[in-house]
Amino acid sequence: MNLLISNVQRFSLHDGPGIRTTVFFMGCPLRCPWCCNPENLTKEIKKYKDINGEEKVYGKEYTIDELEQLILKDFDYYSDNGGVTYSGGEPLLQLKEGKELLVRMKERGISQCIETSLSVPIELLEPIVDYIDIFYVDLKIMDEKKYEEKLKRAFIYFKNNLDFLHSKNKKICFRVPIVDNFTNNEENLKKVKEYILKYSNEKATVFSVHNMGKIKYQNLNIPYKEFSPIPKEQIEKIEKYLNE
Amino acid sequence: MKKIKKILKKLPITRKIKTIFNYTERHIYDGNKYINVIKYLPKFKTINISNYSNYKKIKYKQIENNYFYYYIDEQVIYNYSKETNVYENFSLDYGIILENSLLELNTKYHDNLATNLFIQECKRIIKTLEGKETIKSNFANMLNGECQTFEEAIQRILFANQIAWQTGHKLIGLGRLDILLEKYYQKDLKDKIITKQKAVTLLQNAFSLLHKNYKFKSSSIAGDTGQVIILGGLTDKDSYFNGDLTSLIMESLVELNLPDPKVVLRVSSKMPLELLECATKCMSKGTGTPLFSNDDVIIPSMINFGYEEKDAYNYSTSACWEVIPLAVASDQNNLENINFIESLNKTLNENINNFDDLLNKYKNNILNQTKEVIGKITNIAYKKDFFMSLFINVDKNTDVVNAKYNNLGVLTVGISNAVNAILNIKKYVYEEKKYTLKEMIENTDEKFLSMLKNDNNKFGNDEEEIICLTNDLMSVCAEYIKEYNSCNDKKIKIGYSSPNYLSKGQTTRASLDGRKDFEPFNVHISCSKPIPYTELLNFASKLDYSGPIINGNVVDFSVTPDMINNNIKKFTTLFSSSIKKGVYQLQVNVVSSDTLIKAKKDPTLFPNLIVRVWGFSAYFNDLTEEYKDLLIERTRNYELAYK
Repeated sequence: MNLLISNVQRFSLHDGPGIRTTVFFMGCPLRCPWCCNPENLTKEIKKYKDINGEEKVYGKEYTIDELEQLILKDFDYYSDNGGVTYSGGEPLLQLKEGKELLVRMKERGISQCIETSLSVPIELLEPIVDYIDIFYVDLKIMDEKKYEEKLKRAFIYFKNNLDFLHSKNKKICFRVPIVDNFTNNEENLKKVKEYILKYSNEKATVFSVHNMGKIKYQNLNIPYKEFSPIPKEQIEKIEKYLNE
Repeated sequence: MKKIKKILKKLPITRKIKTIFNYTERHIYDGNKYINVIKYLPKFKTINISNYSNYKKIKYKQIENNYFYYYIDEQVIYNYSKETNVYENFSLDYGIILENSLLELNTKYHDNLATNLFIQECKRIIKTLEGKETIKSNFANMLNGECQTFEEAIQRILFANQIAWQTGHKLIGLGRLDILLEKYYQKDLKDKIITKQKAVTLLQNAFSLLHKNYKFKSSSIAGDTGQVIILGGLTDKDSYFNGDLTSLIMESLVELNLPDPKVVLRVSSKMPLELLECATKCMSKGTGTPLFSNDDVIIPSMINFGYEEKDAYNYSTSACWEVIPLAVASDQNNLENINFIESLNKTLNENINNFDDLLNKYKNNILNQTKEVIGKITNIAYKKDFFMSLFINVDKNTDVVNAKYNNLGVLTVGISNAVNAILNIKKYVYEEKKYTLKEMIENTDEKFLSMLKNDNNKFGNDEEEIICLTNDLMSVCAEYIKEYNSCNDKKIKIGYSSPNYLSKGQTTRASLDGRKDFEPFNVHISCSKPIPYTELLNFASKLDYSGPIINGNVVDFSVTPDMINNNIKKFTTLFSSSIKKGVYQLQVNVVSSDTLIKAKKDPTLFPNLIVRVWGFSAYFNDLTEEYKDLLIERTRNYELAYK
């Protein structure tokens, strides 16, 4: 079974505790307008030319063995709760088929985290849930209708999966992207706060939309829309409000 | 001319003035044109110390607002021999001057001219001091008694250090300062003579005084003073020395925000994690302090090389990082460089049949160069040195020339470039067969060079093939040296890092790693492409540091202030893991390329910006434009690995 991966980032500091290796899976059920990883939207290898005109690709197929070897390269640095984080894209789209990797990681006692939208059928989540130590879940647009309208996906998957994780007592850390006209309004943030209170004992992380994905849109010839980053003070204020 | 003389008076004197001063300092506008002032600079007054009446040439000046007396006359050198090869580039064992009075030393070593010099200078300083009762009594006690207090201990070290410089020795380190001072510090704390805060004040005052003559003290470029403080370290295989002063000295120094003195912290998997975290915090301030030196690897390697166990456990370093047992060795660690690209380029002009043939011929050329370099350095003669003899080999009362260890050190440049070039040749000539070797050598097309430079397989990647190739090339030198060492008393050491990656690059033609004519070589153990730190550290931990390969093996990378400051704990984990894995030494430049680019454009924006240069720290503004560019490129590379 091969997995389609766009990048494996070693010594990753922002995707969970300790020093981690983050694996970026390709394919995503959502279409967030502010997405900064457009190369991961569909599960296919994408050719492009970089600014020097050199031909390159986003995406590479890995066997479980290859991926395991790559993650194990930094095994000695995973003390202090470090380990591997599955990100993307939406890693849940491929992890069921790549379950063998999770089993091997667990056998070696390596901490496993996932960054997910939870927007997948529960059948993709159930088989792997016991292997994951921390779920980093995005809280984006919390109004069902708007969620569906803006992110192009039914809300129900997210809700069901979240309830499922909650019933299994899994550790959930929420992440909240702040984007004007989408997530950044009082009504939405109020709902976000309700979810945090109900589902998580961990501090939610709040971050601003950014334009660092612009170059990838250009490389892929996809029209790009700029978003205004939210000032740091405002982010801090929202983070304080959500974690009260 | 008058105007020039007036300006010249203000300039500090130094022996390698051409390289220390930047262009604007070297050239003075006389109203019509810029004049290079070097030739107008006065020469040193050299004073022979066997004639006591000469001593008075140095007029000790009154000091202000200092807790210590430390004064160097930059225009005078006390000299007892006209010969040029003076022992230098290591730390003194200051213990001897703490445990003995100067008069005792003079009795014990009455033949040693240096003890008399100490006494005369001490007396003259006492006469100079007016109203400085504490300093005066510290000097008076130095004459007659054993050291009593923390403050006096620092004064004695400063005094010995001052005489070291004044007698023409360069790159003089400060030794294992925490071990030296801890007992005085603890006693004074107990007797309520000082507080922790007062100790910090005293240390900082001492460091500022040591920094004051930093251009005079610099050897190659401004900042290269060799004023290294060694802290921490294993005392035997199970115990690690971590005094209260270990972190206090480091923190006090970093707070001053000076490029020099600097710290080498001897690290180990046996050290407390809190000390490593404190060191990471200090490192994050960006002054280049500390450099990590891994006892777990180094001490066994030193013993394996031939140092007695107790001497290996008591190692310090030369000016940068080359290890040397304290107090018993006069090893000269930085004598010559083996240039791996020079040998490779020579090989490429020969008739090459296939890849194995290339490697064999290359190794033969490396071997010949090694023999040549060793022939050269073993012929250097050293002269008797009264001053150094006091600090080394004091037990035997013999001269430093006959120290217990008199080993010699060789460094290497260009091995990273050579590995990359060989990987390129293998791929393009012998695997993909895109070019012939001749076509590759003759191709100067920018696109082609950029392709060579950007190829993915590089020195620094933790790939089996690359690690093996690197170890294989180094072993050519090491095996020959081992054989040489087995039948010679003066043993040879070699290492992966050298300060000369810039200067040697300037005389070496282009190489097939994509490096152009006369460009600098890659730096120490680092990667020329953006790669994660863990990958580089894995690579470094798999290099062979056995036999003679102990002469400084430094991993060098840069990190942005934001990245390290927001992740102190994670970087501490990174360092502690790499210590366990077996990285030999490590230094980190904490700076962002944005800041460097702005500082290069307008030096007035960041007058105190400090960067780590090869094995020391310096003000960014003091560097040559070429070195600034190199630093910017390297810094940007590491940032790209995390974009």
